[in-house]
Amino acid sequence: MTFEEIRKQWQSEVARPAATVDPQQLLADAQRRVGSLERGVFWRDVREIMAAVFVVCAFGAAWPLYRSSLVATLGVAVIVFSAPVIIYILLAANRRQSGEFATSVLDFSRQRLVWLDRQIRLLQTIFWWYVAPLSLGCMLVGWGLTPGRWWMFWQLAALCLGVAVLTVWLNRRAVRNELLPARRELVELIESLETTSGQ
Amino acid sequence: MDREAQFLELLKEGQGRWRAIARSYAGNDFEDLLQEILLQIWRSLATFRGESAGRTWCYRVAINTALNWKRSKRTRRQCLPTEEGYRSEQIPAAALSPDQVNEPPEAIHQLLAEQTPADRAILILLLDDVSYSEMAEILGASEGALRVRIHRLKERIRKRFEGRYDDI
Repeated sequence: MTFEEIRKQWQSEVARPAATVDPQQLLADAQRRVGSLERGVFWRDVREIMAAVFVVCAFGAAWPLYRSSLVATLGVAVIVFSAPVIIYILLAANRRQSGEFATSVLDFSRQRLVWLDRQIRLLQTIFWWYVAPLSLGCMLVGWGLTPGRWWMFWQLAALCLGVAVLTVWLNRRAVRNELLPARRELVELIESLETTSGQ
Repeated sequence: MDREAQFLELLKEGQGRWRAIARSYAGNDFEDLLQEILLQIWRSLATFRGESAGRTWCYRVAINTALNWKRSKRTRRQCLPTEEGYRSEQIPAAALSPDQVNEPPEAIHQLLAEQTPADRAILILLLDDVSYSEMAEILGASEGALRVRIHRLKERIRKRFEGRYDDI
């Protein structure tokens, strides 16, 4: 068997249409899926924004409960100010260009590497922009609302710290086991194509 | 030509090719990847300006989607939520299922599966009779360097099939 024969075999198989496919049906399905995807992305953003609004409103409504405690007020302030920042970071991380798949393979791979690096950086720093402000805020609120009842505060603090450690550990593990191998694969592909492009 | 007519035109010309590319990169999961390719072609058509030929443009979208597909499948759960995290309802399997006899023979897919992702893309384009200049445009590589690489690729394949294929 020669390379030409392999090529001809490939081409004859590629050229043969699939008997059961109706192009109009495929078009309708692609349109429906894109519509569904865009609605999903829109409602996800709405949910994230609503979550931040809910946090701010809930703590605003609970003002009579903690206004007498300066420490609890400080904790609420930390949570209320960090909620929009967290949502902003999440929404910014979600943004992508719609036409990127139509660029050359090398350019696309470079764009994906930039995107993946941003994801890795966000997950590696999740303690600072997500875990720390919320945990600190919760602990301050707990401290302020339980004056003299240290055992309650320590229980809450232990819970906050446990959740924080678990969150950071899960994210670090995801970076180590999933994202870094994917990054290595992508870098290899880029280097391979850059060698071919003479860069 | 409006977007729908463009899509149908591209589909008519490239459907078999996209399916073969999907099968080359996804094996038995090719229907998922084929759906993803169709979706990305439809979405990307919104920004298609006709600066490159329709076939070249489709190759870019299909190969980029295929290369991204496996990585995304692995990392989707780990990354912060993105559009890729959302999968809408599937196209009914019956609409996409090709007759099994229409698929390129296993030997070709075995050969493709053994290549690195970049070499697999090059080999698909080579098997599809894509010119060196078009190949360079699709991959973002230089034509001269591609020729050298293809020569080496053919050498490797020849050695791989030594004894089975006598004239690659």
